[in-house]
Amino acid sequence: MTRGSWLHRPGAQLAKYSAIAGVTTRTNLAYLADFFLRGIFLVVVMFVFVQLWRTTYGATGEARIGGFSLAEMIWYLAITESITMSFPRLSDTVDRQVKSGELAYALGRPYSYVLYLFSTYFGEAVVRFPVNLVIAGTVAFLSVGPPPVVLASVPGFLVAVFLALALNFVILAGIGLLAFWFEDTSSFALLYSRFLMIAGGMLLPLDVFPVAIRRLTLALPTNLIIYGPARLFAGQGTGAAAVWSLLGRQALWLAIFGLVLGGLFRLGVKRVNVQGG
Amino acid sequence: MFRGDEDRSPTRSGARGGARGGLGRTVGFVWAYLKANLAMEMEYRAAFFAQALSMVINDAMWVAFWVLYFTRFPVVAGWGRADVLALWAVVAAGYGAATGLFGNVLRLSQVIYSGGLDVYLTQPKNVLLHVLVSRTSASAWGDVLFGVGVFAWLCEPTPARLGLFLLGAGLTAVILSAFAVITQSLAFFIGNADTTASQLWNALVHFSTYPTGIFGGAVKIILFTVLPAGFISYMPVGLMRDADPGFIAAALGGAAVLTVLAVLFFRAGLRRYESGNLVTTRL
Repeated sequence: MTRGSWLHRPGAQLAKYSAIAGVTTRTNLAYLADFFLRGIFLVVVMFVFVQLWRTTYGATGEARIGGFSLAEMIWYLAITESITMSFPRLSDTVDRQVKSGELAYALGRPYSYVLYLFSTYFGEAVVRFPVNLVIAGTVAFLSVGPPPVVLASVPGFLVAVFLALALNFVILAGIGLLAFWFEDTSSFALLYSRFLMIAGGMLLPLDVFPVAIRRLTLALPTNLIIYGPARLFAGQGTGAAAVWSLLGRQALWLAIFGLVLGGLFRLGVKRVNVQGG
Repeated sequence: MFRGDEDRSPTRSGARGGARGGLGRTVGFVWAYLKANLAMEMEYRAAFFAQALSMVINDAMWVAFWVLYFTRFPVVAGWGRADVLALWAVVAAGYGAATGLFGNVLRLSQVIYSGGLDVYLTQPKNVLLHVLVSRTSASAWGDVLFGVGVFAWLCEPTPARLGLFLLGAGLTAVILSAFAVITQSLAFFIGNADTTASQLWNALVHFSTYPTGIFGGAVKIILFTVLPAGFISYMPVGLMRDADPGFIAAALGGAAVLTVLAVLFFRAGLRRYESGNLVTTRL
């Protein structure tokens, strides 16, 4: 058992990592105005989406596309953009810490490096997501009216967003840790983020894809990071069974990727050489 | 590194482009910098190709989005899949050319407010042109490769269409560069203009990659004036599909006006520039 293990005084461990997340949140809150200023681009993105889908619904004459009404489609996209733009640049940080040797300092401290990373990641995302949601939601509200969300599914949605952020964390941290073996991991991070654009349902709900591609993307865990929570907010799949299925699949993939991340970390740390004083 | 080149330039009129000799020298100057920048990038060959390839994949994902979209909705606002493919070919090549040749164009604000212009002011070359060409971007060449590749593979290339593609990419590069110079030069007036300039740049690029047909009314007017994305995104239709002489003239005129505005705005800002006494060495 190490000092960072959850088996050792779990209450104290939780308090420790909550404190780390709290410090990161307060740091980010100090730059709230900057977050809103950066949100101008999100306004542009949402505005363009509204124009594109208004034109599309008008051109096709269909009331529902892929099961989504125009309002549901715009709110779906407001959530996908809010989630995507909330992801902190984690893999860059890990990559830098591995290459610079900063990681060696963290290993000697009384915390788990991976849980420390998660605390700082979550502390930042917890500020970004509401800000993005306010910005994207305002554009959506002004364009198509109130959100189609079913009130009873709001708690499930919030848990789904948390699990989505956590799932994204384990993947991004894993990519960052590849710096133990590769010269540059930014290409992997970019590949992953671009894959999320399509397979995660960021730009289009998977329901709009041709059948074969829809089946493939629904089988991949990437759909649980963006498409799943956004679809729930847009009023689709709000039944208890569907919500539990979403949360269960998220938890399962989180456990799988968590184990992979733990393995990568243990293998990587063996390559760390600490010299000097 | 460019001593010989600079010695042949008696004044800082390299980019004023009045005489043919001046224009020739300017082209030679840009070409020499491009070769040197690429040679420098080749020192880290693996990283260069990785970044270029990443950008190709990035662009490919956007094109995949549009292919999926037009598979479901074949024609929207008069645009079809071929038009959007041509749009991405032109914009990617133009974007890559702008940020590849003028690698500092998106870092100009940072150079200005950090006092980094001092080193360019002491040299006998046009300051704006010199600072712009002093760097290249590895990912830019991925954009160029992608744009040319999409055109060659998916846009039914003919010699005439190749000419129009090159004209479109060139105009796109000029419009993007001039817009970036104007927004980045805000740093002369407001200090750190990074966030403002990058927001405006992202907005321009984002609007440029969507069909113009989905926008109407006041937005369309804005897209052909303040935020000149309309000229770029209408390029595949106005230039390559319909070869509309009116649009070609407007695009050429718009690009020329924007370039003049960018140079004048930078010069106006340069008069306010104060040295930061930053000591730098350029090897």
